[in-house]
Amino acid sequence: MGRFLARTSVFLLVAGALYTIAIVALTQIKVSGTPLIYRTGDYYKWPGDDTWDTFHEFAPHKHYDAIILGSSHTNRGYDPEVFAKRGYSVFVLGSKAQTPMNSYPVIKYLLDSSNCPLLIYDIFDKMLINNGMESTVDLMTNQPSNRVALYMAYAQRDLRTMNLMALRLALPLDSPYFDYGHYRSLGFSVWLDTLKDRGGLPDTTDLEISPRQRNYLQACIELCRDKGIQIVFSSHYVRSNRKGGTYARTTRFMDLLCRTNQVPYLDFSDQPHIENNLWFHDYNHMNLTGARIFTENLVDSLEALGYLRHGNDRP
Amino acid sequence: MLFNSFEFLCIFFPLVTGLYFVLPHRWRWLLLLVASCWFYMAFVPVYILILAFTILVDYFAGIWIEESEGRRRKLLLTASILANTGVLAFFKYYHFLNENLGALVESLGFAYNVPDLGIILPIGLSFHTFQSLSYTIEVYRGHQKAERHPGIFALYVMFYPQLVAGPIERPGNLLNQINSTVPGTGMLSRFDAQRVIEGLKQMLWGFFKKLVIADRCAVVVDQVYGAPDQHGALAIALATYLFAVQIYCDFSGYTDIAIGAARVMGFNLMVNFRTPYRSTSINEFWSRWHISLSSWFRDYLYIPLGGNRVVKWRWYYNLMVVFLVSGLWHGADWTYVIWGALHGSYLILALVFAPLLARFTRGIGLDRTPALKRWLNIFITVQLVSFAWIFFRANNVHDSFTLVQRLFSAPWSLTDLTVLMAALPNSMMDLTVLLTLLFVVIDPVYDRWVKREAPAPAGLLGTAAFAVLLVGILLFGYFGSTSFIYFQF
Repeated sequence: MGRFLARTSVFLLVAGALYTIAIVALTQIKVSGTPLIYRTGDYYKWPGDDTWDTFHEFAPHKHYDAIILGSSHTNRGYDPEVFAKRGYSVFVLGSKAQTPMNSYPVIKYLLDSSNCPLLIYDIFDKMLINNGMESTVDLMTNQPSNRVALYMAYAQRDLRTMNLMALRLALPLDSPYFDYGHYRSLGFSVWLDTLKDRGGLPDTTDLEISPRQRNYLQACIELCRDKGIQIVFSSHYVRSNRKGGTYARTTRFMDLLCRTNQVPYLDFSDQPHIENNLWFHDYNHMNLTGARIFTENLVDSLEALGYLRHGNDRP
Repeated sequence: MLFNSFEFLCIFFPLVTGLYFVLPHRWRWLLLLVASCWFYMAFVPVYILILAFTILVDYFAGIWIEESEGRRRKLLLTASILANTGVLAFFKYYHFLNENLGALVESLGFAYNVPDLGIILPIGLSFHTFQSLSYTIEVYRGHQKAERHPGIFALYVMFYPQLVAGPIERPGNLLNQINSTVPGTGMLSRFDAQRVIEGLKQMLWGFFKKLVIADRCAVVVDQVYGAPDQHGALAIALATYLFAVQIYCDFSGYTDIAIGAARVMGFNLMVNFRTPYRSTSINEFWSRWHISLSSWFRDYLYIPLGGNRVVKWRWYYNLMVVFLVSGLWHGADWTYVIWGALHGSYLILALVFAPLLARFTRGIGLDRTPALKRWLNIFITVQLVSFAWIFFRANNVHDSFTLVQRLFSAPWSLTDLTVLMAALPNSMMDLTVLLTLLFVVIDPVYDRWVKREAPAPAGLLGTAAFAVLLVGILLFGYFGSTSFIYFQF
């Protein structure tokens, strides 16, 4: 056994050395101005755009009245300016396809009761059936904390995240490679287009909620409880033809989860007039008009329930 | 459970292997049997009942055959063969037969209302059915003693490394190793660092072939074969060559992982591949490709049919029957039948024209340059095999003929690749082609190393030679727990 362990250790050392050399070479050698590593896998993404801007603007030491987490529904549908006009400072830390598995390290390493007394967590059915890889790639590429990236790399249980981590360390970036220009500020991106048709084919997905995402959502609730953060779930407007079997499962699951944990769930997915094309810029995401209308509704509800209070009214 | 899954690599394999060496020898069969059930039930749990049926039938068939004589002995063997092939026919061929019978009946103007049962093919059914069948046939022939221990027999059929995609073992090899009485061999193996490392190296080579080569090639191949009428001749040719590499790396990669995992525990499974694309003829190809299946057909179908010790037409007939059955063994679809028929035809034509070819090669002086002749033969064999793969891979007969038609009806042009390149992820094509070419060069070298037919470099160089494979997997592997092609058979 000793001989086996010794030879295995040497093997791993040699492999580690070769891996390091290969990563350095692939990140330093450029073809047409691009590091070679970007040509070796389709999961390497250019750093930049909304997630980059969001996480580089976010200041963990600053106090916010609320932080918003979740998928791209949040950074297009929850307008911090509406909160600001009503006297609340809010930052949206939601990002592309962000799943509970990805939100967990964000809460763990970036949030506490001093910078985030209230966490508004948007629920979108597709993020509960997702394996999280898309968001892991996005966040490991764009957000600046190595601790958050390392946690995600481990949690994903996918060897590709090891390469993403190695890329982060070998090629630290201080500026984004691209920007589509939708980002405004406080984690919010502005989309002005309106939906041109009635909403495309109906959503026919009827998939089971991922046990991992289910567990991570529960873990997020417990983590918030431990940190003294009030968590409130919410769902923004969902067009009726996007409500497939997965949506129904998610609604049932969320009702049970919130009842069990005594956490509020402000579900706006069934509000009237949500078919209005002028509120959406694609089948799932709201534009600025929709975002403002929805956010007003949300703030009303949060105030009515006492989760958002002004100045001295704060508990 | 897939070999390339997190569950296998991080939980199942280390746990089962660790327990195997910790447990007293007398309990190892139970551990491996339970582990094999766990491994199999990770797919569709209820299908373990089919395996249980096969095991029960052949366990008793083996004992009764051994205890019987004359006609009864033959009847028992026939019953075992019928039971095994019956299960295979129902689960694998019901849909195919029903669909074709329905089409035939309806073409004659009659109504046909036999329902399609929507059966999902149990994983690896053809493999363990053939393995179990080889046991009863060997007992019948008196080459193998009937196994009296039901657990040991069940383990022979279910041994997890080769349960779902072979190699299709024979009782003379695997069952005797499970029953080994020689200390240090088979089930009585002790932890031997050298052997364990050799097994792990073979597994690593298998993973490299699967994750770096096969799964990458699959992305390009799927694109072309998924929409044959959208791609030009060059794209079809490229995808076909890549499929030839993909199926080899996928299947031989699985085999290497299986053989390596078994070797770690002290079992020697049979060699299943010997760099088949270096064959100089189709005949040689079949002695290097899926050896456990081709030797199964040789021993249990070709030779009982009379083999080559018959008149010529009957010999050709025997060859064609074997390859048609082999085609059907691979899948219940006419594409596989055509694939088998093509290989049968290649062999028959080679026999018919052998004297003419010999005269021709002598005439043009090719015999005086054996190296050139050898490479020319290899080249021709690769073309023939690759052409046949079109039918094997195509989604249906219509697609296969579309592919062949497009392959030969237009001149090859680089613009053929435009649609393909546009549909693929960024730089997938160039890296895939580059890695595939690299693989073609290194395959014969690593293949001999892992089979211990040539010594791997000693010391740090040898370590680095295999560490490179691990680094290659990490950097260039195409992940996502994709299944192995041969699981469907």
